[in-house]
Formats: sequence, structure tokens, C-alpha cells
Amino acid sequence: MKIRDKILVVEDEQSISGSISAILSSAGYDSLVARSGEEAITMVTSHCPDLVLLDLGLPDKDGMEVLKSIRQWSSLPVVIVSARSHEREKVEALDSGADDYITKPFGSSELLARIRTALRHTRTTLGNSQIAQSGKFTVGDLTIDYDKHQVLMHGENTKLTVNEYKIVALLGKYAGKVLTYDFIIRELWGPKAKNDNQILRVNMANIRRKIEPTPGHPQYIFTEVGVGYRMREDEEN
Amino acid sequence: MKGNSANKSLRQLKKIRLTRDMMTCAPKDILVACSLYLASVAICLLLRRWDIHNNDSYVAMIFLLDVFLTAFLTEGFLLGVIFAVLAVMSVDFIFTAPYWAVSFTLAGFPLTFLVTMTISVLTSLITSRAKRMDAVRRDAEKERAYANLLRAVSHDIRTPLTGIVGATEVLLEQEETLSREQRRELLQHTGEDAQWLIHMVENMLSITRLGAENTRLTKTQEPLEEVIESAVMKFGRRHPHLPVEVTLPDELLMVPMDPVLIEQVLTNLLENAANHGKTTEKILITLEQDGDMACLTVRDDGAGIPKPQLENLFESQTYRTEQGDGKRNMGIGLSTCQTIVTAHNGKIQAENRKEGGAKFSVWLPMEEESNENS
Repeated sequence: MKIRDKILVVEDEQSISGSISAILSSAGYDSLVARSGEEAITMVTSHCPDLVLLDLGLPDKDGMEVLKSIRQWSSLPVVIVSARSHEREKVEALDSGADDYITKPFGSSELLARIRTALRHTRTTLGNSQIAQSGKFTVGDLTIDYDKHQVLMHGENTKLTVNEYKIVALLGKYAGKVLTYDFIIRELWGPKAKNDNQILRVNMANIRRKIEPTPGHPQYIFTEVGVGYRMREDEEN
Repeated sequence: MKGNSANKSLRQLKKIRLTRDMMTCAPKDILVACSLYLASVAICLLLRRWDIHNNDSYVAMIFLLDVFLTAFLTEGFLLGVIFAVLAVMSVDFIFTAPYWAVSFTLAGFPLTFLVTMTISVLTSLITSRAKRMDAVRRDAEKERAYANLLRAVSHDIRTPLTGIVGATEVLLEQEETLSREQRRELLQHTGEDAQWLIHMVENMLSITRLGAENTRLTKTQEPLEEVIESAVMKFGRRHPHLPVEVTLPDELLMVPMDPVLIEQVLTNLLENAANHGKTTEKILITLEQDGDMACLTVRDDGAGIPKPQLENLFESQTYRTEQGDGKRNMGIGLSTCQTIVTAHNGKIQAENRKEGGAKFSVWLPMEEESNENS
């Protein structure tokens, strides 16, 4: 018998947790439900789930506290569920260790894609097993060659600048995951870098002009407005 | 009963606030009062030097003016009263013989004191009352706008809710008798209605994000193209068969904005083109620089905007279509657009294209206005 991944759904609204559980079990996951922050923390320790789906609006305590207390001793993947207009909340959650987020209201395919990505990233140390094995990351017609420090489109060098390459390389390493502006800036320019994401934005615009075939319809790097960027993974389109 | 007690506590709160307002003084007001006082003293001293034989009659007049202006220009009683006392003292101390000495011997002194006090207190009272009336009127206007919005929205929400409730009831109660297709159809409609509700709520959230008084928009420099991309992608998921073509300029246009709100504007314009264009088969988005503004246009090849609606398309909170069908009402979407764009110091325009279809243009300033008042 196949061992199924166990997912803890932290959500106080019964109708939502019910429908999420139904989606999860039909996709082959085992699901547990916690209705409060306290319960969530206890269940994380007692059931050892493979992933936590955490709603930030809980009745007894802030979801952010739950996230922080989980992060004190565990690196198990946590996907945040948040309302649309709270980008700052999302950024804060991502910067304090959440693996990804999904915005309410969401569709089942989006939810499952986020869960798959988060689970996969914890399985491989480099974040992306493809890179570990071949030194390359390929999605669609785009290939990032980590050994040669090149980004290829249809096998041709796209002639990115050093910084542009670094950004694409970083996003490729975490493909499927959203990376906040701050995270990218810290990774690229060090922790003391000015927290000004203008340079990043300009670089990203140049990258897009070099690798994206149709303006306004990106195929590879997606913007999460007010939060950061996300590189496409092979399965999503 | 509950309402009564709430009213009562509200009144109490108002009373406390009134007393507090009357007794406090802002640093700016202190400065104003001090400068007025010093100016009066200076003028009187100057006049005395020039005109030694005068009988000092101007002194009282000038200080009376000072008292009046102080009470008029500052908030509350406190400063007005303090400076009235100061003025009376100064008249006695500096400008009444014997100079630079206190002499309460003057017969008219109590009278002067009484007059200045009365002027100060009454002026304070009248100005603060006028200010309060202004605030009350503004509040009332805002409340009326909110009430209008709420009424429009509640009506629009009721339609899809009725659909959802009806469909779920049928599904639960007549589970056996419904055919597979019928069930599917009911569920599909429920899903569509729910989508519509989500769209409504997003718009209302956008308005509340702007609505609260004193909260200024938190603008950041954002590339407009990323916001377009995000809106177009989400739109594509909802309408996979409606192509959206995007034309971007070569250079990157950074605009100070709240990106979530501007995305909402675009989403509304796209949804509008899809839902109200009737025969829309293609949507074109163009971004270009127009002087010191970034100009965004959304064009469709649909039926266009009916003439009578074109005039007050954006102020359509009270507007209703003839069919009275909630789903046909584009009121909240477009008035949200207008509210958001105005809050960004931009403008929005709608017109019909000669080739057919509607064209919406949004201009957003690329530079933050430096003299913006808070």
C-alpha cells in the first residue's frame, strides 16, 4: 500500500475545511483538521503531518504566531491561506518561514499545485532535484545552465547580464515557489543591501524582454502583485 | 433598547470629546497665538515711539483685535482665554501710565477685562461650532455616499444569493428526481453566482481600503506592466476563450501606486469588456507614456456603451438598468475604478470606438505630487 502524505488543515470555518478535506482526499492525501491555533500546534507535534495548510485568520490566536511556533522546532512545509488584500501579511508570513501562500478564494487545482510544490521542495535538499542531478533546470523552451551560468531559450543564449542571470537562477532553484522581493534582494546583494526593490524591478523588466515571447502573457516568470515573483514549474502551464 | 443605550454612550462620548477639544491646544495654535500677541505688542510699542503725545487709545483697539484673531484662529477656548488675560495685563502693564508697572487703579479696568473675556470666549465658541457643523456636514455626505453604495450592493448581492440558495435547496431536496445534466447545470450556475459575489466583494474591499478617513494610500513605485500581466493572467483563468492582447512600451514605466487597487481597476475593465461588451471577441490593452502620465487603454470589439449610459458611467451608484437584473449592473465596478483612479490623482475616460466596441483610458501620474497635503 502506498503511504499517503498527511496534511493538516488549520481552518476554523467548517464549510471551508470540509471542502478542502474533500479536495485533498480525492487527490490522494490524508487530511486532518484543526479548528484553532492551539489545536494546530498540538496536532503538529502529535500527528507529524507532512504539510500544514494554515489560515491566518483564526479565532484564538494569530496564524502568524502558529507559524512562528512551528518554525521554532520544525521545518515542515507550511502553506499560508490568506485574503486577497493582505499582501503585507503574506510577505510577512513568507519572510518568517512560510513556504508558500494561496489567496482566498482559490480553486482546487491551484491549491493542489501549491501543495505539490511545497512537498517537493522539502524532499530535495537543493530545492530542485533536477538541478542537483544535471546542473540544469528546464521548463518549456527555457533552460537555465547552472554550470555555464547561462539562460537558454530554444537552446540559444539569451545574453542576460550577471544580475539578470542571478535572479533567474535563484527563481529557477525555487521554481514553483513565490520569492518575496526582500528575499531575492538579500540573496543577490547580501543582507545589508538597501531595501529598495527598484533595481530588481528594472532587472526583471529586462529579463522579461529577453526571455518572454509575448508581452503581458509571461510563460516563465510570474508576478505576484505586491509580494514577489514565481518561476513556472514543469507541471503548471 | 440596545440602540438607545448605544446612542446614549455615543452622546456621552461626544460630550467628553467636546470638552477635550475645548481644553486642548495644538503646538501650531500656540505659535499662532504667540506671534499674534508679539505682533500686537510690537505695533503698540512702535506707535508709542512715533507718537508720544497720543493718548494710547489705539492700544485697546489693537489688543482687542489680537484677542479676537487669537480666538478665531485657534482651536478650543484655552488659548483664547489665556491670551485674553495676557492682553488685558499687557495693556495695563506696558501701555497704561505708569508704564512698565501694574496699576489696577484704573476705573475702567474691570470693564476692559470683562469685554475682552467675552469677546474671546464667544468667538471661540462660534468658530468651533462652525467647524463642527462643517465636519458634521462632511460626515453626513460621506454617510450618504456609503448608504447609497450599500443599497446598490445589497441589491446586487441578493440576486446571485437567491440563485445559490435556490439551487442548493433543489439539489438537497430533489436529489433523486434530478437528472445528471440538471444537477450539473444547477451546480454550474451556483459556481457562476459565487464567482460574481467574489467579484463584488473584491470591489467593496477596494473601496474600504480607500474609504477610511485619514488613511492615505500607501503608494510604492511599481512597474505598471507587472500589474497588467497579473490582471490579464487571472482574467485568462476565468475567461480562457477570450484573447487579450497586450502592447507594452520598450521602456519600463514605474508608477507610484497601490498595485492591488490598480489591478482591481484593470480587472474591472476587463470583466466589463467581457460581460457587457456582449459580442466581445478580443480585448486589447495598450500601455504608453503620455507626457508625465502613464496611459493605459482597454479596448474591446464588443457592442460598445449605450449612449444614454455613456454620460454618467462612472457615477453610477444609483444607476439601474431597465432589466433590473443585478448581473447587468456595471455600477459598482466602474465607480470603484473611478474612486481608485481619482485617489491616485489620475483620470479615467470611456468612449465608443469608431470601429465598434468600447474604449476605456486610464491616466496615472508617474511622479508623486510633492505638494500633496496629508
